[in-house]
Amino acid sequence: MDTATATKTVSLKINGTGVQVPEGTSILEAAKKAQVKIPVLCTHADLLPSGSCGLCIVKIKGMAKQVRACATAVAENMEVITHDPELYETRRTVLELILSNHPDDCLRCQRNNNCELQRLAAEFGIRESRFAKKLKNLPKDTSTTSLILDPQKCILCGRCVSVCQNMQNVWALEFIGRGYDMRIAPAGDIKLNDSPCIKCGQCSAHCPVGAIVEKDEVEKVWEGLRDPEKYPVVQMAPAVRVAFAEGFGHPSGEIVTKKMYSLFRRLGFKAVFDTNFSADLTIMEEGSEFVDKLLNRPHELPLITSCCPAWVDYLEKFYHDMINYFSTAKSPQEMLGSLAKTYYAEKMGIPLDKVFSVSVMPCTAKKYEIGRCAEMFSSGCQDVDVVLTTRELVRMAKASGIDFEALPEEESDSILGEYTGAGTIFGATGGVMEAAIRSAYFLVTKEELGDIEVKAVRGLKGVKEAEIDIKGTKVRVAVAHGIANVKAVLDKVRAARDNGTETPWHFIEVMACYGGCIAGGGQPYGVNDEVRKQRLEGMYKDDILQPKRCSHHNTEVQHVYKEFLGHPGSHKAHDLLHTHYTKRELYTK
Amino acid sequence: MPMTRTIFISDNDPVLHDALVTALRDRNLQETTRVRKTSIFGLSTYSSLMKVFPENVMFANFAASDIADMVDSDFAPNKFSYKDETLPFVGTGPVPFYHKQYRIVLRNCGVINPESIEDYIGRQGYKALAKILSSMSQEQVIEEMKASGLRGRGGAGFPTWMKWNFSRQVEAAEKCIVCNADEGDPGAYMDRAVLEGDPHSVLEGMAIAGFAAGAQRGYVYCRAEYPLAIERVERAISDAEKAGLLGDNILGTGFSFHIELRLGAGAFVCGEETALIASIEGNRGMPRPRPPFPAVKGLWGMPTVINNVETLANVPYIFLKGGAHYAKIGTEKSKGTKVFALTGKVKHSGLVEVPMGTTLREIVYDVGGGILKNRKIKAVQTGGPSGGVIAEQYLDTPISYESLSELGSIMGSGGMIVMDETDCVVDISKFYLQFTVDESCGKCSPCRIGGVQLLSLLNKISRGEGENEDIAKLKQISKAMQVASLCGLGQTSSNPVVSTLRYFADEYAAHVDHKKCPAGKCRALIKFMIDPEKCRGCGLCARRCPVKCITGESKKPHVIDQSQCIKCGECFSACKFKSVTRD
Amino acid sequence: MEKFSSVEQLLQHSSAKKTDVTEILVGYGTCGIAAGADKVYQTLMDEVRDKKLKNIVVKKVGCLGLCYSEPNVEVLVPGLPPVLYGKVDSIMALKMLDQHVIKKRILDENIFDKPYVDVLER
Repeated sequence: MDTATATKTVSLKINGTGVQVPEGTSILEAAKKAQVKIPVLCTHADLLPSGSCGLCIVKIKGMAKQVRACATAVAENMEVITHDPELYETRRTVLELILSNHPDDCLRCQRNNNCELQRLAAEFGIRESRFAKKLKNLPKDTSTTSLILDPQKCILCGRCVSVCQNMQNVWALEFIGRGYDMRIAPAGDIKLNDSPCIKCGQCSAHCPVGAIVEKDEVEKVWEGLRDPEKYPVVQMAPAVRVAFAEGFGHPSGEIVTKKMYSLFRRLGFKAVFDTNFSADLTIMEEGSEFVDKLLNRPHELPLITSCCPAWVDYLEKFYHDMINYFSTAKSPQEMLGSLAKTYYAEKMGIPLDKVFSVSVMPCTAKKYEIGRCAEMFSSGCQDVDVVLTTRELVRMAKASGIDFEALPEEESDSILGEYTGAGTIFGATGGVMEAAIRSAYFLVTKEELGDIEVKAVRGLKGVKEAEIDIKGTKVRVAVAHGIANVKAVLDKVRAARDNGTETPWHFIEVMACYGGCIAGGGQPYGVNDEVRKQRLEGMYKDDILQPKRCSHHNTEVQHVYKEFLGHPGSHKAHDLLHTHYTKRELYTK
Repeated sequence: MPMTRTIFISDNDPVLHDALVTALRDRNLQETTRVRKTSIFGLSTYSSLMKVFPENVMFANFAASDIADMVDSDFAPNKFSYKDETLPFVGTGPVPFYHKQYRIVLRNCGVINPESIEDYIGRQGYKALAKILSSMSQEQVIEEMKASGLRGRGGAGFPTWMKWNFSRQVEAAEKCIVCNADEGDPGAYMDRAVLEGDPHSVLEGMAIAGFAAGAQRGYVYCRAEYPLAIERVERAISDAEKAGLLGDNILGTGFSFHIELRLGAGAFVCGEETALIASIEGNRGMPRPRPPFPAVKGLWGMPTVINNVETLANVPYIFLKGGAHYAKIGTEKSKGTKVFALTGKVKHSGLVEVPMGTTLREIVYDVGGGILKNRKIKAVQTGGPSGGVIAEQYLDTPISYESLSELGSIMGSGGMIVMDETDCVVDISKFYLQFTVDESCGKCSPCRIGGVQLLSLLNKISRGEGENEDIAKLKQISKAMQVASLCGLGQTSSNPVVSTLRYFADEYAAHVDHKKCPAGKCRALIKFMIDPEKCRGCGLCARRCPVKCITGESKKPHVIDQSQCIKCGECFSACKFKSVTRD
Repeated sequence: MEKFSSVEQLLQHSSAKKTDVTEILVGYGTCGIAAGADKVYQTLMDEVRDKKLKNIVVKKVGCLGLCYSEPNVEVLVPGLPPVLYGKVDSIMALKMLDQHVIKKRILDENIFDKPYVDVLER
C-alpha cells in the first residue's frame, strides 16, 4: 500500500527472473511482475499484511529462515525462490491443516464456487483429509439485518478484523479467546447487533471464505414474485450496473444497465425503476437544503450527506453531537421506496400494501436502512420490502436460468425511471458532491455551470477537497470515503464549532466504503484498487453517456414535483423524503 | 576394624589430600580413618583447612609437609588448630551446590536487601552507570559490550551490542528500551529471582542500554503473576529516581532516562518481542511479521531495544570489570555465565549460574547432586517448550548456544528439566505441546491448528492407537510449523516432538508398533499383575487400591481385576515383595 | 538516601559495612515466602527485639538459589565463616540464633552449603 510514495526502484530476482519494482514493494507483489502467483489466504491488497495464513512463505538466498512474501519488502539484489518442492510440501501441509479445521460442506455454502480456500484446495489437488477433522461447534451470529457471521467456517485470517478496525475505524469485530479457541466476534463476545457494527459489510466483501456473508434474502424475493396478489417493483442502485456483470465473468466497470432492466422483467417484476432517478431527486432535496443554508443560515453549515446508511449509523453512534449538520434528505433508495408506494401506487391505482418493493444495492447496510426509523414507513407501510445485494442478484439471475449474455437491452419504467449523469455518479466517491455542485450552482445562480466535471472530488484519495466559486461565493467542500478517513474531516469541523471559528468546509460528502458504493460491502468479491478504478471509470462513463447530466434537468423528477410533491422542501416532500437522526449507543448490551 | 576417625579436608589443593592419605597409610591408619574431600569450608581466606572428628578440631593454614606431624601427634591441637572448638564446621551431608557456580547475574541475589538501594550501592551499584555517563561515548559503550561478547539470554542469543547499535543508528526523535520480564517457560524462574533479589541491577542495565542506544525511556514488561517482583521493581524505580540515578539529568550529566513498569496479562506469547510491543501498546498480544525489527520500528513506532532481565543484569558487571574480563568466562562464542532453573528428577533443584562451557553432567551431578532415588538419567530438557530434550549420551557436551542447538535443543531462557528412566518421551512431548497449544495466540494457522493436530496424534499414540503413518504425520506437521509459523512460539513449539523423535525413535516405535510404554507412564499401555509366586498375600496392595479391584484371601496370592484397574500404580509401589509387575 | 547530584558524589559514597555486626539473611523471594520464610523472618525479628540483642541485623534478601531447601537462611557472624542453613523453621531459627549467633556454635547437622564466592571479589 505504501508503494505509491516510493520513488527508488529495486532490482531483484524471482526464481531467476529479474524484476524491477519500487522500493517498499512486497515480495508478493513483486512476484506478479515475474509472472508468479504466490498463494495467500490472509493478505489482501487493501490491508496491511498480517502474516497469519502461513502460505506465502518463500526462500531468500542467504537467509536461514523462510519469510512471508506478503510482509517482506524487496531489497536490492535479493534472490527469491517462490516455488520448489520443499515450499510446495510446506504449503500443502499448512493448507491441509487449515482444511482440517474447516467444514467440508462446500456444496451448501454461500461462497460455493466463489471461495478462496476452495480454489486453493482445488489448485493443490487436495483429495483426502489426512489430519483429524476438528470443527468448532459454534453458533452463527444472525443478529443483524445485514450480515451472518459463521465462526465455524472462519479460518481466522483476520481480514475482517483489520477492515473493521483499520479501514472502517468501527472496531466492532475483534479476536476473542486465544489459540485454538480463538474466534472472531465483537469485543465482550456480544452479538454483532449489540456492537458498534454499522453493517457496511466490508468484512463480508473481504472474507476469503463463507464466514461472514450477507444475509441471503433471495428466497423472500422469490416469494414476493410468486404471490399473485403482489405487485412487485424493483429499483437498482447506481453502482450495481458497473459491477453486476462481474458475476458472469465480465470485466469490472462494464455498464449493463439496460440488460438488467430486461433481467428484472424476466424475473417477474412489473415495474422496473432506477435508484438513479431518486438520486436526482435527492439532489433536488439535499441541494435545496444546502442552498437554503448557504444563503440564509450559513452558521448551520456544513451540510453532511446522508445517502449512505452505514455512514448514518456511524454518525449516530460515534459523532452524534454533529447530527444537526446531517442532511435530513433520505437516501435515494428510501425516496424511491416511498414514491413507489405513494405517488406510483396512487397513479396506477394499486393498493399500497400490494406493492412489493425490492431494491438491488451494492450494500449490506441498505438491508438495515429499510427499517431504521419511523420515516422508513412513510407510505403507511414499509417503503422498501426487501434489499438484495448485487451478489444475491447474481445468484438469483443464475438460478432463474436466464441467459444474461443474450438478454436484450430494455428501458426502465417511466415516472420513476429516468436518470441523469448526476444521478449515476452517486455510486462513486465524490459523486454525490459533484452532482450537488452541478445543481447547486444552478439553484443559486439560475445559470448552468460551465464545466460540470468536478475532477477535484474524483478518485481514490481518502480525503478530497475543492473550492467552488458560485459567482463570488466560495464554497469549500470535502469528500471522505472509508470511515477511517472521516475522522480527519469531522474532527476539524467539531473543533471549529467548539472554538466558534469558521467551518473549514460548507458541504461534506461521506461514503462508508472506500471508493464509494462501487466498492460497497454487497458488491461482487475480489475488490482492490484496480477493480475500484475500473468500476469508477464505468460510473463516469455512464455519466457521459447520459443526454442530461444535471439532476435539475431530469424531466420525471420535475414531473413528480409538479404533479405530486410541489417543490423541493415542501411539506409533502418533508413527509415522504426526509428523516431524522438520533443518538445511538455503541454497545446496547 | 571399625572406623574411629573421620577427617574432612578442603578440596582446593589435591596435594594436601594426597599427603594426608599417604601419611595415614604410612602409619597403617587407612583402615580406621575415613578421609573426605569437601568444599564446605566457607573460609576462602585460609589456604588449607582440615577438620577432624570425633575430636572436632579444626586445622588451618598448614602445608602438606605439616600433615605427618599432625598425624603423629594424633591430631592434638597444635599451632595449626583453632582454639575455639565451635569454629568452622563440617556437616555430615554437605552439598557442593555452589561449588561449580559462578554468580554474576545472581551476584546480589541473597546478598542484599532488594528493597534497599543503599545495599545495592554498597555493592558498587550504579557505579558502572556513573562511570559510563562521566567518561564514555555511546560508541565506546557499544565497543565494550562487543568486547564482552554478551548475547541475549532470552533464548535466541542475539549479540546484545548489535541490538543496541541498530537502535543507535536509527534516526528518531524518541527511542526506548524494554526489559522483557514476561518469563513464562514452565519450570523457569531465573528472571523472577533477579527481579525479586536484585532489581536495581536490571534498572542500571536498562539505563546503560538507554545511554548506548540513545533512548530516554524504558519499560519493564513484567508478567502480572510476579507480584513480589512487581512490588520490588516499583520500589526500586522510585528509590532510584529519588536518589537521582534515574529520571532527568542523572548525576548531573545531562542524561535522562525514565523507567515505567507495564504488566502482562497472562499470555506466554507476549514474551515474543512483537507481541510484547502490542501488549504494551494496549493491543491484543499477538505477534506481527518481522521485519521491521523492533530495534528499527518497535513500541509506538520508536526504535526499541528489547533485552531480557538476565541480559540486563549482566550489563553493570561488564562495565565494572571490563568487557575483556567478562569475555574470559565461557566458551569461544558463548561468553559469560548462564542461569538455569534446574528442576525435575534432580536431588537439588534450584537456581544455578554456571559459566558457559560447563557440561550438562556437571550441572546435573555436581551442582544438582544427581538423580532422585539414584535412578538412571534419561535426558535433560532445556529451553522450555521451545527447546528439546538432550539424551543422556550427550550430557558431556559443554553448554553453549551452538552446542545446544546442534543437539536439537536451544539455550532458551534457562529452564532445565532433568528426566529419568520413569519419564516417557511421548508423555513429555504431550506435556509441552499442551502448554504451547494453550499458549498459542491463535493468529497463524500453522501454530494454531498444527499444535492441536500434533497433540491429538500424541494422545492417540499414548492411548495405544498409534498407526505407522502417525510418526510421519508428526514429522510433517512439525516441519510445517517450524517453517511457516509466524513467530518464535510456533516455529519452536514442535521442538519437543522433533527432538524426542530424534533421540528416542525406538520409544515411539514401542508405543506404536508394540503398544508398550517402556517408561510405564502411558496408562493405556501398561498392565499391573501380581506374580502368584512372589505374593505373600499381605493385603497391603488391596488396601491401597483406590478402586478396590484387588482381591484375595489372607496369606494367599492376590489378583487384580484388569477390567476395573485404573493403572494408578499404587499397588506397584506399595508391594514390599516386588510381586506386582508392570508390563 | 540523599539525592546524588554528581558522579563524584556517587563514587565517593561508601556504605561501609560495620565489621562487628552479625547479619542474618533470610531468603525472601516468592519461593522462600511460599515455604515459610515470612514466619522465620518474623520469629527472628521478634526474638532479636525481645532479647534486646545488639549488633544483629535480620535482613530480607532475594532468592539464594537452593529451591529444594527453602526456606534458606544465611548467617554471617563476624569471625565465623558464612553458613547457609536450609529448611529452616521457627524452632530451628531460634536454635540458630541461640547457638550460632550468640554462642558461636555452628549447627553442623542443619548446614546445607557454603555460600559461593563473591564475583565482585574475584
